[in-house]
Amino acid sequence: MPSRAIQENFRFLVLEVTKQIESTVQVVTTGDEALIDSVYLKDDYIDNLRGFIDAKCLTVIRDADEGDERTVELARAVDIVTNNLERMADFAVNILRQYKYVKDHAILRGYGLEPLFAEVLGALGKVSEAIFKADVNEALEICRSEFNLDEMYAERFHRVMSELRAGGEQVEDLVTTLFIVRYLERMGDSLLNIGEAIISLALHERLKIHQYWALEETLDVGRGEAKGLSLESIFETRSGCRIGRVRDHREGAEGNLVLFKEGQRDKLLEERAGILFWQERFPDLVPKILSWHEGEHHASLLLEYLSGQTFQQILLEGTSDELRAALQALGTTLRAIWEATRVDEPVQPGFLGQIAKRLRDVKKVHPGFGDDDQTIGALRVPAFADLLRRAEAIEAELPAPFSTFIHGDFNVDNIIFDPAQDRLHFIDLHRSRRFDYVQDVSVFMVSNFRLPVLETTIRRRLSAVILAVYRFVQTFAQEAGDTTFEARLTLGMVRSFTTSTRFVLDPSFARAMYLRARYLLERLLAHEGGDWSTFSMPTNVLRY
Amino acid sequence: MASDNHEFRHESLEDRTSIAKYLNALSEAFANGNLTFGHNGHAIELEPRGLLKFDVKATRKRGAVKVSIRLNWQEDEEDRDPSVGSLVISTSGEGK
Repeated sequence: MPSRAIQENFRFLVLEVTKQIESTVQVVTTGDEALIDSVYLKDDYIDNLRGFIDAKCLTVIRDADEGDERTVELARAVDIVTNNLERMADFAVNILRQYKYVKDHAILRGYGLEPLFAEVLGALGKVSEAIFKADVNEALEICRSEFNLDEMYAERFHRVMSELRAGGEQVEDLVTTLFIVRYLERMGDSLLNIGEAIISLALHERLKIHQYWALEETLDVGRGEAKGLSLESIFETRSGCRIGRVRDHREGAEGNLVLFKEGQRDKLLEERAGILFWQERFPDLVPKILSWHEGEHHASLLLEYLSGQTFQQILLEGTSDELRAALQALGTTLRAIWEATRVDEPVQPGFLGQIAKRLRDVKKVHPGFGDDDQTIGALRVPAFADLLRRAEAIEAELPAPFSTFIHGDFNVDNIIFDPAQDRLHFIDLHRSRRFDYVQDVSVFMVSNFRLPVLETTIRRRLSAVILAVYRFVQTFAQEAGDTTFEARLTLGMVRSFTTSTRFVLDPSFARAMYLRARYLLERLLAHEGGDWSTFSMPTNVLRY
Repeated sequence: MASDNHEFRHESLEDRTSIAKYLNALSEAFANGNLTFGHNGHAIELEPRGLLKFDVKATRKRGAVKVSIRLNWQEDEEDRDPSVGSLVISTSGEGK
């Protein structure tokens, strides 16, 4: 808890700012100009008050005991609110400065500024309680006044504009009026900052108001009824979605965890389509959609929270038994999916095309990759890009004999294993579709390989997992009569090794992956014209 | 498999004709998969398998020329440390 001194001075500040704004209303509505000087004088005092609280808060943040995050969070919120309050007081002074230019006060009064001032003062009255009780509902009310002020401002703005267009002698007074209304609108901006700081404090997270409202709407609760929901964590994904873990304590909800995703509408539409894709045939494999809310650009999705650990966590931190169990569940699940969804119609995975699409991004991170033709004596070493072109003819004769459901982004962190139920779940399903199963296999193998860990025991684990999956899929392919599996997997590995380098910043590790892609591609080209059912992928590339 | 921590080094002066027998010897040894370096009754026997990292570097600085050829590889982990268990996914049945 910040010291009493901070609390007392903060309440003082709120009071002083309120008085400044009340005096300003008085001047503007009644023309009582005697108050103007006292407002000017008070402004320095308010500045000092802000400086004092500012310094105290910084001291509290600096000296807080480790782990006392509550105190630090509160001090930070008080600091943000303090600075915004002081700005509001400045706007009051600015309004009075403008007021002095008004010639015909009837014009200004005709614009009815009282409701705007009332909105500001109403919100100000809530600030102290809201922050010291960390009250979300009060904070939401404060945020809402900014939207109300915006509306009132817009109305008056348009009126001023149309009167200006009509011409006349009132141009200067109209412009001054506009300036004054604009300062009131800016007070609204400060109130929004204040409200957001308090919401962040109450939820322990940095949260913008539109995200909070998306959460409310998605949860289908009315205004201000979000009590009983607590946000436990929030993080941003690579695609710019924000994900929060929310605990629902409302009646009947039994404190269940749910996952809240908010972001670009298109991305989330894909995610939802991916979940629906799986839902019908494998309802337990994917999270249930609890609710969906769609705006013009943004959307939000509330999902069942799947308990367990990601495959990546198990790889890096799990015991050997946990890893074995997860791996077996993976094999069992994949086999079940592939067998149940197999349709015997050829499908062309187009791995080389996938590389071509991403090669530019790879080169941004690793400029040397791709255009690397050389000669050593009489030997010409072709550029990787040339090798890719030459392989196009090979790929064309290697369609997959059948298609299955695939995850589409089958990375180790998109698989969740629940040891309690010995069950596997898939998440991040925005690319799920019917396709060549080899796509998921190669992506999975390389997502193990590319984990940036050098520790020997973990590297051995990764190699063992990659090899186990390779052998497992090899057996499946043989049983399924997929005679071009090895060649397609090789192309898939070339694709994943190459394109994954854009996420690998360590140059020697990225190079190790790139050289593996080259090596595999050259082995494939060396087999050109041969029988593809006799080709086997060199497994020595699987170890680092 | 040879035990760890062995070192062999050869140095000599050659010309562009006499160097050929060394390069050929190395080339044949790689082709055969067996590379033996001996000295004083001790020998390092290498069996290059798996991936070979091949690194050629040529530099010329004010008449001083250097061409270095470097080859690295890892011997099979299982050979060096038999305790490394392998993982197997059973395909026998329905699983669970």
